[in-house]
Amino acid sequence: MIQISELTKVYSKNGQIVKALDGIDLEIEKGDIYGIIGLSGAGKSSLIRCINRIEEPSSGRVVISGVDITALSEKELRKSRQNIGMIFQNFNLLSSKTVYDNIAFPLRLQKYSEAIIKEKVTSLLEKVELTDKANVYPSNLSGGQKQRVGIARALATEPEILLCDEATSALDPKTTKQILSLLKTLSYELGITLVVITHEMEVIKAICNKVAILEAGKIIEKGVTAELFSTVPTPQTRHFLGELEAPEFLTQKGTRLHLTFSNGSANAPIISGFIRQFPYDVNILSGNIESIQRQVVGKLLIEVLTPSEDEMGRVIAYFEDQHVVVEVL
Amino acid sequence: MTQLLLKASLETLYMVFVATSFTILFGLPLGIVLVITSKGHILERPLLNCILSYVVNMMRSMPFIILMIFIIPFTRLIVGTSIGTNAAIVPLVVAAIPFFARIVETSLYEVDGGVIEAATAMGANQWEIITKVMLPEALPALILGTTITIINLIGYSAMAGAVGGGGIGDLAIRYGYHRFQTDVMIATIIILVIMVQLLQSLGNWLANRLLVHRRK
Repeated sequence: MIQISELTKVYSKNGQIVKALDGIDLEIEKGDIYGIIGLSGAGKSSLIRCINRIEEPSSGRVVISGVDITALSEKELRKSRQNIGMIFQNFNLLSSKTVYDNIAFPLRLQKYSEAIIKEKVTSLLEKVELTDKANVYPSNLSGGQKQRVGIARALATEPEILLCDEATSALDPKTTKQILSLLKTLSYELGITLVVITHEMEVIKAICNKVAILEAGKIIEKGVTAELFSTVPTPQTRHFLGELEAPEFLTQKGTRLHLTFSNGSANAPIISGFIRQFPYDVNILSGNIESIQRQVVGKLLIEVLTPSEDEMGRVIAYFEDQHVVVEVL
Repeated sequence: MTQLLLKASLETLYMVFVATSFTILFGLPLGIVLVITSKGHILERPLLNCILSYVVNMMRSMPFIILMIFIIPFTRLIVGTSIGTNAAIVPLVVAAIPFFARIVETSLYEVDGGVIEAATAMGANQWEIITKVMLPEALPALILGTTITIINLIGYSAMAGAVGGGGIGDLAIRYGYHRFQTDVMIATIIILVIMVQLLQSLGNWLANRLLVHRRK
């Protein structure tokens, strides 16, 4: 659906050259909800803007449904943008137009007749549950309502792709949940491909089936979301994947092991099995369990006291036999 | 005296009305071009922007009374004479265009860049962004800016009286000053005050009506 290859974006700031994007390769398939996560300044915003070229890439290619977006003329580009919806952190609604006229805006750009516009806008208002707000101006809407108008407006031209630029970052946790579930439902019902830019891992966990981690303009990790959370993180990705950390006020007595359980092992009584099998003390320092894309992922940080390294090897082998991913800290 | 005042008032209104029309006709596009050719905007043209900005500053730095005399040859070229109400309109327009262009510029800069970005992402071209996004979004500010420009024009038009331009200013100088008719002087001032007050109120009312509407 979307192939991004060797995409770079370079600009100069105060005479210095900044590489916002540095050789990005990404393959997004039809129906994916593809999350791109990174800290602020990592280049996520540039990356998503290079997909519909509201920011010009310096080099590289973006191919959407076989069409090289980066090679299009301005006119062709405008045409192809009608196939790519976009929603924003600050909603970016027109304050001078009502909810109805905001949603009708992209349709009027395409010169649809008012009768067709009315039909489309009415059905979109129903989809985002704002039928009663049709004639209200955006300044009287809550953040969640504004974003729902944004979503309706982005979907008006029936695009195949929806770009979400920090779409929930300005919303409270409850509204965030509602918007995310709306996005998920819509992507499923309409078969739209979503590209989701965020700095919140919660967003990724909630809706993205795939994820790429962006740091300093480079993708440092990418893959299926649930798998990424159940493998050993690299030093760079630790922070994003929410690895458990031992509380600082505890002094380390033995060897600390970070255990990651996924589907099968998450429900098994692995620690009590360990206690029965080994004569060593074990302390549980921290732990959590959650469901990511319908896969249960559990994490546990334990401290084990063994007399020798060989014994520790046996302990690790035991956990690995149980399909637990072990990381020695 | 009433007849004199009436005639002068009508002349002023005529001058200001015609001058305002031409000012908007030329100043609005100039202001738009100043914005869209600026860095990072929808039609970035640094050189053109720099030149236009320089010209606007140059025209604005000239005191009106000097500008009026300086462009007499140009005025003759346009209206065929340098004396009278029509002749006064030319320097009024020349002086007000750069002023109004800057006002349009500031009003349009107030339009949220995110909204313009959203329109671009929807496939709008530059013309559509200007006419369907920037101008409607900035309309209340543009109305207030136009009010300020008209009030300025009333002030300038009084100065035009000094070179035989007609209107209230002319009356005030000829009768109020040269002939020591204080009553005429006071009457002209009262008329000017009323004009400005009415205009400002009208401008405020229009802009507020739009804003209140948007808050509904």
